Amino acid sequence: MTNHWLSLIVAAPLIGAVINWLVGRRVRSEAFIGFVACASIGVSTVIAFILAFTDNNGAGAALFSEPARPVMSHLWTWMEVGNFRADVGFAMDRLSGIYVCFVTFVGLLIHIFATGYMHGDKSYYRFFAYLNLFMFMMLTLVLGDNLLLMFVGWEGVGLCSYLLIGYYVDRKEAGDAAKKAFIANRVGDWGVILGIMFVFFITAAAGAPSISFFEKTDLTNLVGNQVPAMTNAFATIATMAVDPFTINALIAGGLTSAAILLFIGATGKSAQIPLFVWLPDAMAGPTPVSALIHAATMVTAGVYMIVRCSELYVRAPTAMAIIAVIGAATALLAATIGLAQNDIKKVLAYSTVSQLGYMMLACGVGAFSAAIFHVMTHAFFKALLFLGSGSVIHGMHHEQDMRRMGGLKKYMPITFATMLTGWLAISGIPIFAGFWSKDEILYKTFSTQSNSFGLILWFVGLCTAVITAIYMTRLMVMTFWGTERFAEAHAGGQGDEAHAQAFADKKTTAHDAQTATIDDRQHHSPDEHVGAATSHASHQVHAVHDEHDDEDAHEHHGLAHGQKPHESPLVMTLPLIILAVLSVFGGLLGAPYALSLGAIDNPFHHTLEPVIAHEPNFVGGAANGADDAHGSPATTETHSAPVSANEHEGVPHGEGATAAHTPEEIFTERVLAGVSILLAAFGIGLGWTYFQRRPLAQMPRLLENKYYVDEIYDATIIEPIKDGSRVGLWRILDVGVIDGIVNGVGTVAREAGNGARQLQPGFVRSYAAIILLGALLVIGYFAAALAR
Amino acid sequence: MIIADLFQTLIWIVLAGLAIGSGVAMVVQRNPLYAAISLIGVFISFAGFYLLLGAPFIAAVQVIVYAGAIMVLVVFVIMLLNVEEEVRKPLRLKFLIPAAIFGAAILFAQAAFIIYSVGASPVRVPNADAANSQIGLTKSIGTGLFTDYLLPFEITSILILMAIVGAITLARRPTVLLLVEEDYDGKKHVERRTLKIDNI
Amino acid sequence: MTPQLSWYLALSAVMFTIGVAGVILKRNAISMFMCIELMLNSVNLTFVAFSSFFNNLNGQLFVFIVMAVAAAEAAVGLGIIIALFRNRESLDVDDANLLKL
Repeated sequence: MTNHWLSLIVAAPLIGAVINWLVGRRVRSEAFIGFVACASIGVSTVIAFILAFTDNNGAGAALFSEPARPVMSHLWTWMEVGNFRADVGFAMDRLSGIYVCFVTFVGLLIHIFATGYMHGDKSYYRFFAYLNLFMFMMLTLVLGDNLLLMFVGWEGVGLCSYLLIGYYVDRKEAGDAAKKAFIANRVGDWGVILGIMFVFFITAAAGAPSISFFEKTDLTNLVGNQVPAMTNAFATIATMAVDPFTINALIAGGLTSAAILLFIGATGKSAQIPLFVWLPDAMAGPTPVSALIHAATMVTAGVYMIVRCSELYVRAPTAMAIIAVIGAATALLAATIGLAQNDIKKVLAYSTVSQLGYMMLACGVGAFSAAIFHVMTHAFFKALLFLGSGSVIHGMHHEQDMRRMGGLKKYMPITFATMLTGWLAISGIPIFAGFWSKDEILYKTFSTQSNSFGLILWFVGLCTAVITAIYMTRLMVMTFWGTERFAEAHAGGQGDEAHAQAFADKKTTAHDAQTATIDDRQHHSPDEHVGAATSHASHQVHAVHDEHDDEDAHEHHGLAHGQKPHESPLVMTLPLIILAVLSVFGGLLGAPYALSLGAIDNPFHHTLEPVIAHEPNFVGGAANGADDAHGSPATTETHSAPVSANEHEGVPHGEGATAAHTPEEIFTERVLAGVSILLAAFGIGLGWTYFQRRPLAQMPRLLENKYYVDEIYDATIIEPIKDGSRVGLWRILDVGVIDGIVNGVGTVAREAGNGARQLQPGFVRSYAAIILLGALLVIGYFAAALAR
Repeated sequence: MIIADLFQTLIWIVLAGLAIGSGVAMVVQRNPLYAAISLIGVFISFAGFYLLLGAPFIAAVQVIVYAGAIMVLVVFVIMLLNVEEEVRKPLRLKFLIPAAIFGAAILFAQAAFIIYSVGASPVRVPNADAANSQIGLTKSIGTGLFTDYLLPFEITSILILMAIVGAITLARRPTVLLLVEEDYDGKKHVERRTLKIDNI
Repeated sequence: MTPQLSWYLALSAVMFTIGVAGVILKRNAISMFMCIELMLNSVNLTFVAFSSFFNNLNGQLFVFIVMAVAAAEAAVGLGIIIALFRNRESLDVDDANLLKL
């Protein structure tokens, strides 16, 4: 079903980026730039919701069409080589419809927030141009109708992440973090490219070569021409047999190999073990960037890809097991590290890694709709938490260290209230969004049939939930309750330096921050301020230009003496409020039958169900709840009619289309929910009592130093590569062999010339003699010829 | 006719002696002017040979071009440069004398061998009567030159043109250049440079 | 008996050898040049002798060309000698040893 408005969703942010880059740079008006940026995303949002929910010309809304048909917009055929074809075309089916809706909506809120947060920045236009570019890339990723176009968006969001993390160009650590992010992503991209190739080869071997997500029949493109037909790669894969659950399947070159290669890409993009190390460093970028990219959208791209390729994954049980294990391990690891961080953004960063681990765990046990549901709720509450922390940082004049905060709830009431909802959401308190999604994941893990260690994974997930509650409570307590510590001179952490310097002026008071411009800042080299704990150097530096202030002006970020934190302006608090509402009520979309006492039967799951795969020999529990084995292979999105919600009183269905609810399943689910609620409450209570009394308690050094992962990577991988390159490749190969050959040729020529020049003594007569000698030889030859 | 043959042979021997004598004299003489005169003697005797061989045109051209033009040119140059007698300098390259003698001997041997082969070869043209031959006449040479040998003729004329230009270029006075360089602060430096053969 | 072809060839060879010896032995540039002319002439004699004894015009035509070339060569060669003299102030070819490596 063709609807070319779909392409406008993707094009609008691009146009906004171009306008901001070309025109905004000349105009330099914050109002104009901000308006263009938000308006372009607004256009995308509106169109996305219209296409998703309304019945466009009788074709059916993307989310609710029966049978499930995607809205497609084929623009042109990008490349066609042999039997390989990749198009530039967009498609919105149920999965991408859900994604597009929340990505654009949350993106819009974050854009609005950023117009307030980045106020006064010197390169305002560049920020918003990049941000719009990022949205363009993300929407390409989500709406692309084939693997290659998705990969274009995949790479593009990596690029924009690099540009935005390194937005503060004069800070070395921002640049380093940006490079780290990009390189870690790139390592993953290797996996994705190989995975795409494998998919192509596998489908080609089956006779229908394709990398498209959708079947294309009877479509017209933008200028009205008929689009040549295209098969759905995953429909082809759906007809194949399941790979065996062995280690060999990983390297056998079949479905499992493709699956694990794509997952390697997902570990890079979605920050799982082993490639998660870039995400905490990425907090060097501005907070809206962290909120948008590293909480709500880019990092979920890995999950999107896995769910999109779910047909592939349900046939690769080894890969699924690995995904589940890595997801659970990452969740636990990151949660423990987050417990010990002092920078508010780092805590949230590790929290993101941990929640992504949950999503991967869900994918690994086959609960794809649970994973997507958690993506959505996580977008709500994590964006809320990040934006809230941005508001806190802004109000604290760019102090990010929680040890210097405290008691902020009376200064920043709106921020406090909204972050409260975010805190409860992530901790898994009922009614709030996070509870529904996290609980569904835990339930599906517990009852999974896809592997035999579901119980262990469930237990790990449970521990992670407890630790999540504890560290989030710690964050809230240290920030909003307790004694006010911002007046004390304390060793600060790494502040949002360049942003701080936008307002750093000797006499700027709290409210002048709104009007100070970047020109006020002193120009230091970036290293001078990092780690103000190196007080000797900073004293010297400060003594140079701070004659008036007393010793409280040690940090150019942070509050000056006697300054109080202030609430953020409406443009920043309004998105917080909207996100808070979503965090409270958004989860009800996916409330399962069992827990909502039959009132809601997980409309989210039912909407998503036709487009994700079910394991062919899946028996009960995770994906479909039916008790019987299902003989027929999993369905694709084109021809399955979702069974209505009425038929579920314990009667198992064929086709695995809906969740059947047997009494024992309902009971199990309720028990497990009760366990999680208890543990969440326990975690909150533990954190509350412990940290209220001792907010500055020192956490274990090992956790604070993130298990020394970066140092380990440095020592085992990076330093050997650098040494190998420097000594091996450069010294031996480049200088020794290649330069040696080139120089050697020259040396040989010179030496040969040196030898040959001995023949030329410079006397003309000797030349004549030699000529005569030659002539004699020639004549002699002829004489000899004559003699024969 | 014996007398005519004998006479011819006598003339031949005289001319040969003159040629060889002049040639040796030319090589031995230290004064280049005397050597030039000897060379003229060689040319005159060669002209005589051409006459004997029934090539009057060539003989005439020999005298006109070689003796009359080239040697005059050489004498001009000798006079212009005021060349003096060659001083007996000790020979720097000692090996040259034996090398020259050796080379000459080998050359002579090869030549003798070739001549013998030519003489012994059965190819024989009926002995043309030199006096009555039509070959060497101006008319026939002219005809051949402008029909069969037209291209070499034209090329030779171009060659001569090139030689003229070359000679003029080589022998002209060195060009004096006045190079004007302007300094950073506007001052002009004038430099006088001469283009010589070895810095063209 | 009339002069044979072989006589002419022998004479020509002798003259050529004399010329070669002169080229190698003489130090004066002009003297060397004159010896080269001698060599050219002896070759001319060979050509004319063959043309006469084989009743063939080509030999003489070729001699004509050779003479023209020799004239041109004389002009250029003497020009070079003059230039050499201007540079080196001496006609000794041993002094023109800038080509020595």
